[in-house]
Amino acid sequence: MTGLDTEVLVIGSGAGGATTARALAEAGRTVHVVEEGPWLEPGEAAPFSLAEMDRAYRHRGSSAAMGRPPIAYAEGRCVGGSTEINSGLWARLPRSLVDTWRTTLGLEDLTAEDLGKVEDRIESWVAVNPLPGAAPPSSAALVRGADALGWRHEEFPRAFAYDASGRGTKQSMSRTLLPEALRLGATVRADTYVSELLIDRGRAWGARLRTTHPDGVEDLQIRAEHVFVCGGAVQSPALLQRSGLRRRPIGRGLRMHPTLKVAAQFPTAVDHDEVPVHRITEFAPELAIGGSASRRGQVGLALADSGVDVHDLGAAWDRVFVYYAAIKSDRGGRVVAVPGLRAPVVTYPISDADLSRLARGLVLLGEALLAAGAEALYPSIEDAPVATSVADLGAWWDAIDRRRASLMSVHLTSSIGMSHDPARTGADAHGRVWGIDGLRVNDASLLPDAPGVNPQAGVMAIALRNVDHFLAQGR
Amino acid sequence: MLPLERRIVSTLTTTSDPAVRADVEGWVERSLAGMPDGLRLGVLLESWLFTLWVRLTHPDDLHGLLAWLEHSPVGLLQAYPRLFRSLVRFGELELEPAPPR
Repeated sequence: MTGLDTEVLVIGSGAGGATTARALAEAGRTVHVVEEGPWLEPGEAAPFSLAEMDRAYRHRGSSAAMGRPPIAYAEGRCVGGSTEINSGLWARLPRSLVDTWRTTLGLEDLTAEDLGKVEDRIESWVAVNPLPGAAPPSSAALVRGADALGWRHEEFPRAFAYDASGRGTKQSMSRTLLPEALRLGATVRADTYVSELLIDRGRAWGARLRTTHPDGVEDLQIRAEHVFVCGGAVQSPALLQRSGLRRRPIGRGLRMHPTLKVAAQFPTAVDHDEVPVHRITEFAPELAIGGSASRRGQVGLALADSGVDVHDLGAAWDRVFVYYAAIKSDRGGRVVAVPGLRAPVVTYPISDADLSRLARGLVLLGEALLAAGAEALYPSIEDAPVATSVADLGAWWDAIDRRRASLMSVHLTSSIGMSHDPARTGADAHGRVWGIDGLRVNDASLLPDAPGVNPQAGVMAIALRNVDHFLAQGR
Repeated sequence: MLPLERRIVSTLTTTSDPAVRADVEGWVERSLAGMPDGLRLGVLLESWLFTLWVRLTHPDDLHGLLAWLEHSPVGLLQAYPRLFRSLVRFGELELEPAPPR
């Protein structure tokens, strides 16, 4: 077995890991990043395409949380993590939520002012911009529908850089923070699975890993003074559990935004290459209404529950776009590393109140899309009626049940948590795993709750805050 | 991929283009192989059970079995055809040439 030494080992290269690596490398620390997935050439696969799922998604996009109903979810598995596959939409953590976290979890130094400072720094590292020029038809439809109903809406900026022609390039971690971390002296080891952390007498001192090369595998042991686990809300608690840390809060409290979709057919063609930048925020943060990836494959899947084959639409499929209603749910799910299984088991309960919220969200989404001029709406509920008028939407309330609803999610958070209370969370207020020296978590699993918005900006802000604390401690 | 799973994919694939059919089968095979192992074990168990059922009943095609499962009140049974339908549909739409806009 090969042995390596480093000062700081960062496990995972997504929003949390890349932020951690870049900030520590800038501070002059010797940083070694390991990532389970491969290095991919940025832009080598079209966003949300089958090719991208094949190369950059964990389980090729076939992940699901068990429950009634099950919830399909997506995670990145490549250098850059989920920032390589998400929409790049950028939302700072809602301040009302931050206030709640501070007061209820004892996160005394999590102030809006301090958080604003780290957010400013991150946004100087990652280009965050509004869309130049007019919104594309898919996005404009949300504005039109909300305006017609007198609802609030908002354009979200994205982590995108635009050239003079207005062509945008997503500023994922493989394009931004990771190259900068490398320039500052960090190293990144891709295709490397961390089987367990090495912990002895209450101190983490490294990890056992396996790197897959084209000509075989290499088993390694990395010794490190400090270990940051940044594998995301599913992989991080699973790694802690595999390493013997099975204390109750670890893996509990998983949060996501359960989501229902509607395929909307408009009288004219809509764009299909981007995710809309506008959202209806009238009901936020409990309910978010926006647009989804809508390549031909996604349109076909969204139509399927209504029994419509996209082939039957012919060229008219070009007039269909997929929108969603996403809620904050009542209860948290669980992540459990089961001995003998490589992938953790994920469960997520949906309460009756959640189903009711989803039904309300779907009906409100339907109202907005009809107000925007949609001719027909196909909900992601098996055999639910197609709606062509507001009067038809009433039937959706009765159609939603545990057997018929097709739920999905993309924003997974909160499976470890941070607070001043070891009984409530797996990590302290700055991501230090309770009871284990030298071990920190620094990713989405720390967020105390689903933020109700795209979590990338919040994950990066919390991660940078925690690195600042680590450095201030003179570690 | 088990022989029954291959038959289900073939049954659900609508295109007659042999190259696209082969690509779709390859995509579904990779997806099943890449699933979380706990979920894949569950799917395999169901596939073995349905293989037995098909051997005993000799149905003309698999559409009847899939439709029956899809309307089952048991969530695990219902999810089985949905999984294959979703993978095949997405694969087919992504891999076949899109109609001109």
